[in-house]
Order: sequence, then structure tokens, then C-alpha cells
Amino acid sequence: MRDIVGGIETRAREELFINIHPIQAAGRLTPNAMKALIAYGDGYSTCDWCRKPFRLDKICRPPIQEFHSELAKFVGMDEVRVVPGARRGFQAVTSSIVKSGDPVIVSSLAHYTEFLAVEDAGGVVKEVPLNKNNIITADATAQKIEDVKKEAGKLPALIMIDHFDYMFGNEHDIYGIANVAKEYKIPFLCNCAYSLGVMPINGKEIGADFIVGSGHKSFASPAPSGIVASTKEWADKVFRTTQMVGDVTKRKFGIKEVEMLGCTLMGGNLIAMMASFPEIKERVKKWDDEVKKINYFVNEFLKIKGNKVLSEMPRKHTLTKVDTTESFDVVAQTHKRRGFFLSDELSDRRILGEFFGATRAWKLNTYGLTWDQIKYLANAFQEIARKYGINVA
Amino acid sequence: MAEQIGSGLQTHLCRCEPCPWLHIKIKMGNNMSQKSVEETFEALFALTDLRQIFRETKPTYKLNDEQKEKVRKIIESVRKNLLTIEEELIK
Repeated sequence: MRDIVGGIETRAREELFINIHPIQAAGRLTPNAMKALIAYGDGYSTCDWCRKPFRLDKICRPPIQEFHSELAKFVGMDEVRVVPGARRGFQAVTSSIVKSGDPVIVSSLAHYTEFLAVEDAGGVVKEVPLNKNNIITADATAQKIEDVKKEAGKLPALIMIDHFDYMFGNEHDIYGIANVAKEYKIPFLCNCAYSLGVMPINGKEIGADFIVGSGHKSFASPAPSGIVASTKEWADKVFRTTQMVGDVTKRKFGIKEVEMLGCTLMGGNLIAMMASFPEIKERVKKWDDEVKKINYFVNEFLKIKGNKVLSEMPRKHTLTKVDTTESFDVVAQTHKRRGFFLSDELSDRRILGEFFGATRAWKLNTYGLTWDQIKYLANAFQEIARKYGINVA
Repeated sequence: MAEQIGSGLQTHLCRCEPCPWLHIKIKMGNNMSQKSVEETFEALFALTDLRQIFRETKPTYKLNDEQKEKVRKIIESVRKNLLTIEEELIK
């Protein structure tokens, strides 16, 4: 396939291959988002009809203001803003409420951007340990709060826990943790980067003060894109407007929000998010079918002797960590291509997205595959196993 | 065109005239270039729908009857788009 221009390949892997890449699955665009990018790719395309009060989330044509309002309802929160990635959502919250030296509770499976957001605000992360099933529980969170209180002489400024983590795709006890946060009167940010946009999420039902989501991970949107939502109790703090006045010019920009640095997610990325939104509202209702498909797949995958699933079982999420040390890695030890043999075999069957060359512990994601594709995928792994003399039950 | 792209957002916006949202029928007269631009976007959008069919049927591309019918309609509409463009810009 020819390059678009010098060295930039036409990216057609989604049309040519089954892609099981762990972080790419639910960020694949809807057809409407692809069309929106065609028409709105030019730089400041969202600004054609920007009128007073000159802020992105107030623009009515295209209906960006209405999108914000609908999005807030969709996530069950009072206020929402779009941001360039979930990480900028974490940063907006930590920068608003974490002060220098403040402890912040995070998961032992927290994404690195949560660490950076805390560090950027001058805070210190304190990790809640996992239980034996690699789950963060409410009890462990409460214990960590007590430990921090004893050690630092003050309560943590924020609790930031992932709904589903990036490592195993395990579900953590966010409802219980929200209750603990309330008991201690500590604000709770629920990181829904792997859930908002693929399954129903209601921030108030969870009991969260903040919900953060990722457009490019789970909302069928281009990178970077994300969502930060807040209850009305916290909105004035996180979405506070600038008070700054120029000393020479006396200029002020009163409507602009400090944490958003004024206008946030402009142009094609935002419009693509908006264009995907109607389909997102529908697809979250079909989450159960996605869960059925991954469980079908892992059951077939486990028929290959030596294969293991490291994520919780049965699966509650399509992102899954597997271990093939006692199956495909045994083949890799003597194969001339070493671990790359598995990638070669998958690629020959028009499958990609596994960590190239990995034959021990690696992750996959089946979100969005049709039943035919799921069956094809399961059969492909079994076929490769048989080819190399691995028993398939 | 807005209806063809198909989502609640576009339908809502079409209440506004002139409609700026993926809708070419702005108040500037029905001149030749406007028609060709509209046909170009329609062809691109139709081909995007074709792209989606590839995504849904990969890697075997065994299309069911409904998908085959969709492909037929896409090809037919793109052909019409291209004919109009050819007619207006070249002939």
C-alpha cells in the first residue's frame, strides 16, 4: 500500500487485520467519527461560529455546548469538560485540590499518568496494596488511609482509583471505595479510562466526586481526547475561571477556565468524539455481549495445554492478560525466530496487536470484534498450538 | 447530506439555516463548484461506509446478503458522485 507522503504509511491494519492490541480496541473510530475527521480536520475548525462568551464549551454551532450537557447526563455528573486525554483530567483535579506535600491515595495498579499528575501538583502517591486476586478493595483503601494519617499526620487530599486497571483489566471495588472516601470526607476520583464509553457509567451512582474517561481508549475517538466530570460541589474549584489581570494592559479573560487553559479539545478530535457519541450511547447497552465474547475466547484459549489467564475469571472486561510461558514460550525456546514465531503465525492469519515477540505474559483486547471474528481468533490460536505439537483439549 | 451522515447531532443542527455542520447547502447559490464539492464529500462518506464493511468482515471478507447490498449501494452512489463531478468540472 502506498505512503500518504514520504514514509507515512496508509494505516489500514483495522481493515486488513483482526487487531487485538490491548489499548487500541475501544478507541477505534465509528464511521461517523471518520467522516467528521474528513470534514473537520482543519486546525481551528470548531471555531467557525465561536461567538461570545468565546469559550469552546459554549459554542452552539456545531452543538458543542449541547454535547457537554448531554455528556454530563450520560456520565451521571453535574459538569463535564473534554480534555486532551484522561491524563489531563487527572492533572486538572490534582492541580486544583492537591497541595505541596499532600498524600494522594492511588491503586497499586495505577496508570503512570496518575503518578505524574500527583507529582506535578507537588503531592506524594500512597499506593493501596492488591489482594491475592489483584483487586483493590474498600477495606484495603480504608487501611491505607489510616496508615497515611498516622504517618503524615493528616488525611490524604484525594483518592484516585481505577475502575478497571490497565494491567489485568480487573474490576476494582469503586462503590465500596467511594463509601470509604465519604466516611473520611476525602474527594474520590474514579478513573474510568477503560470503562466510560464501553459500559454504562453513572458517577453519582458510584458515589464519585470526579469521573475521568479516555476518548482514545474507550470512546471511539482520536488521540488525544478525554473527559473530566465533576459534581456541582467540586465544579467551582476544578473549573474555576481566571482572576488574572495584566498589570500594563489591564486585560482579563474572565470566562476562561484556569485548569483547562481556556479552550480545551478543539478541532477534529472533539467533533469526532461528538460524532461517535450517538453510537457510544447505544454500544454501552451491549456490554454484556462483549463480556460473553471475551469469556468465550478465553475458554477456547485455555483449551491449549499450558495457557493461563492472569486476569480475574470469569472475565468482566475485554482487556485480558494471558500467560503462555508453558505453551508458546516452550516452542519459542527452540524456534529459529524465537518469540517472534508466534507473531509470524498470527500475522500469517491476519491477526496482530499482541506484543511483538512476546510468548510469556502479554495482553489482548477483543472489544468490538464480531462473533465470527472472535471464533476465527480462538481457532487461530488453537491451530498454531496444534501445528507445534501443543495439546488442545 | 446531514441525514446521510446520520446522527441526532446533525439532525438537530439542520434546524439552523444556514447549517454549518457537515452540510454544504449554505446560502451562496447553487453554483457548479458547490455541487461538485458536495458530491466529493458524499463520495468520501460513502467510501468510509465501505471501509467500515472491511472492518466488520476482516479477515475473511465473507459478506452476508445485507452487507453485499450495502456495498452495491455504495458503489452505485459513488459512481453517481463521480459522474456529476466529471460532468461539472471537466466536460
